[in-house]
Amino acid sequence: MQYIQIMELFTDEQLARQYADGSDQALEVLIQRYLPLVYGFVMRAIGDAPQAEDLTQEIFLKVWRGIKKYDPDKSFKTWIFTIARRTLIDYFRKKKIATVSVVESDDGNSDIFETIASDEPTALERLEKQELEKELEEYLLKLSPEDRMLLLLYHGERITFAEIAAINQEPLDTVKSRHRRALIKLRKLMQNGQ
Amino acid sequence: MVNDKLHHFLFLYVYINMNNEMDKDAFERKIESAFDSMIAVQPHERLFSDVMLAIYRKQVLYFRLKLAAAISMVAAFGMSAILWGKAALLEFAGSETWMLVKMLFSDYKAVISNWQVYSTYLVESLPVASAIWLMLGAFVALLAFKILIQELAHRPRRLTH
Repeated sequence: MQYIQIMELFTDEQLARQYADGSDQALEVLIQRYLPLVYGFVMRAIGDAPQAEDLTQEIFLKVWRGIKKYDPDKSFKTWIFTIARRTLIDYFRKKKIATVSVVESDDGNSDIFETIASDEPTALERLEKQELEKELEEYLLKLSPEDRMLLLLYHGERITFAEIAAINQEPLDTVKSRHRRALIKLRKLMQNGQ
Repeated sequence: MVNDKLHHFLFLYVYINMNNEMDKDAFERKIESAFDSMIAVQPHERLFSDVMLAIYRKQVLYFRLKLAAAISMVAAFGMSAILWGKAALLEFAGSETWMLVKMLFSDYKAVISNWQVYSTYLVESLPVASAIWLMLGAFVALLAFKILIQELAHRPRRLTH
């Protein structure tokens, strides 16, 4: 028990290295540390608790299988969320849910002008903060899975754009422009009150 | 005149952009604040033990597969080594090598005086092919045995605390 408590002081990368060196408790601590984060991310991405539990299990099985190949010089959080994102993409594909929105346009900047320059009173402005929290989850589920995952990673998990670029294996600028477009879509949804 | 229009247009463009940036930031701030205030989705208490159990089951499955493979290899190559060993012994008993070895005891003075010729004949008469097969079988069997011992030492145990 005390051993586990001491291990909780180690960084993720140190724990991953210790597990590779044969310490089973290191993996246990890592799973305890990341279970709420991964489950929360999956749950918000799919909005189905029993399915989120199954997917979380699947993600941690992949983590266990791959942890010996993990490079401790890279961020563990980025690595685990890469696995989580890929697992979710596979899930959406199996469910035949398009991961990228079909109405997505490439000229993200002109969209910003169109949307933000609008003078219409927004539903957002009328929303009280507490109501927004409740409704945000519902609106997030209306976005395409890719946009939803991006917003959840950036705003929910506080993962930087650079880290998301590593997770998605995309250029940094692409991630930033996709984030901007995702926000626009979210805002449009909220404005329309769909 | 043209310059004035251009200046006016540029002013409007910068002004609209500035407002857009402010508006965009306000929306992002709202979203940030909403995300911050969102109640964290907590997994069910049993999810941790479910995850650990799933990993343990996989560990046990892989352990059994590796164990079965190692036992099969020890058995197969051990048997091969024994059979090749027997064949090598029979070959050795009927070979020139055995006669040369017997000569060492019966006529050692002659062997000592012609030790260089004797050594050459002895080396040439050795059943090399059988010896190689015997050593190969024994080597692989020992290697598989080592893996078996390592696997047994690191057999999976259930993690809970």
